[in-house]
Amino acid sequence: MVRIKYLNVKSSIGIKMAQVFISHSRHDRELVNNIKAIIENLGHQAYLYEYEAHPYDSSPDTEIMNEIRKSDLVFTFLTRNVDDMPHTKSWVISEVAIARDANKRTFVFEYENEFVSFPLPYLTDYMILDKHSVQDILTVQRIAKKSLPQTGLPPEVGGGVLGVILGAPFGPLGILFGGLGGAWLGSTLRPSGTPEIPFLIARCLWCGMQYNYYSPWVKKFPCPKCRRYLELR
Amino acid sequence: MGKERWYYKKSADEIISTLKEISKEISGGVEVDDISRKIKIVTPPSLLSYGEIIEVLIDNYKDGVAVTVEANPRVWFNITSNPDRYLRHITDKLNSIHKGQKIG
Repeated sequence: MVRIKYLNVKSSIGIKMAQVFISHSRHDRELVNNIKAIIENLGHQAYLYEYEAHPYDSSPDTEIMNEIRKSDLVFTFLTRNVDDMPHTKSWVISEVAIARDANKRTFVFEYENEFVSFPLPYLTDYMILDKHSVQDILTVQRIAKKSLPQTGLPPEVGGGVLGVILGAPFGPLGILFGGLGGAWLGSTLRPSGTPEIPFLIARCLWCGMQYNYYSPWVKKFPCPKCRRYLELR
Repeated sequence: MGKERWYYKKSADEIISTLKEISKEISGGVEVDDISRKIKIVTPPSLLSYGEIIEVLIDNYKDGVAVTVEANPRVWFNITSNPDRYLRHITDKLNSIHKGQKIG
């Protein structure tokens, strides 16, 4: 039996790519493919494994455990599809437990007004998504960008190298001024004013769990750990 | 990137000896190929140049020698290198000592 694995092994000029483990239901493929594309556009790779495709497959637990340990972040998408499939639900909880054991930053995403019924033992970050909002997907992209290491050369280095090449015909002094000038020009190309991601640190009064909360405009929501409702003041 | 040819009523050894002196003046390295009578002078790098290479070829004639001096930048893309300055310097020095005649 063939397991479905989506692992992008695109290399980026010798710089180590980060990996995000995506915990999800196969029925949320559209959402997950968007997230996968977002991560790949940032120059990193996404790891997905679909249990529902092969519920009776030999146990993939070792592979899953290794991939979570290898990953820099874990993204967990809790949707109705996860809630409705006992097999998927138990695997998602198990993956979160592995992430906790490996001390991985674990992001939990849920749809607004479609909260799942089961509590999750661990999370570090939480966001409530509007199903129809592209803006929310872009926020996920900004969160991933901020949380993952940068790939590629910094613009200062690229500018400096270009400056050295352009300055080389003018001798050692040309190399010096070309390199310095190029690095300075490169630094001006660094994007500035990237909008900040609105978030607050939420602390559940019932279970005491504390996490970064990225949807501060949703004032009332069930705590993902204990499923008792919180109301922001 | 210049090339000049001069005629001197001197022996090749005298010209080679003078060229060695000149290369000392410009703090350049000098290589002499005694068989082909070819001398290569390499000038030191400066702020605007990686150095220049001056090649001197000496052809023996019955009553003198023909000296071909060719100067080029050490690195082909070094546009601020000034090999002609060294070409001028070497030929002027040679002429002030040996009174040569330009050929061609």
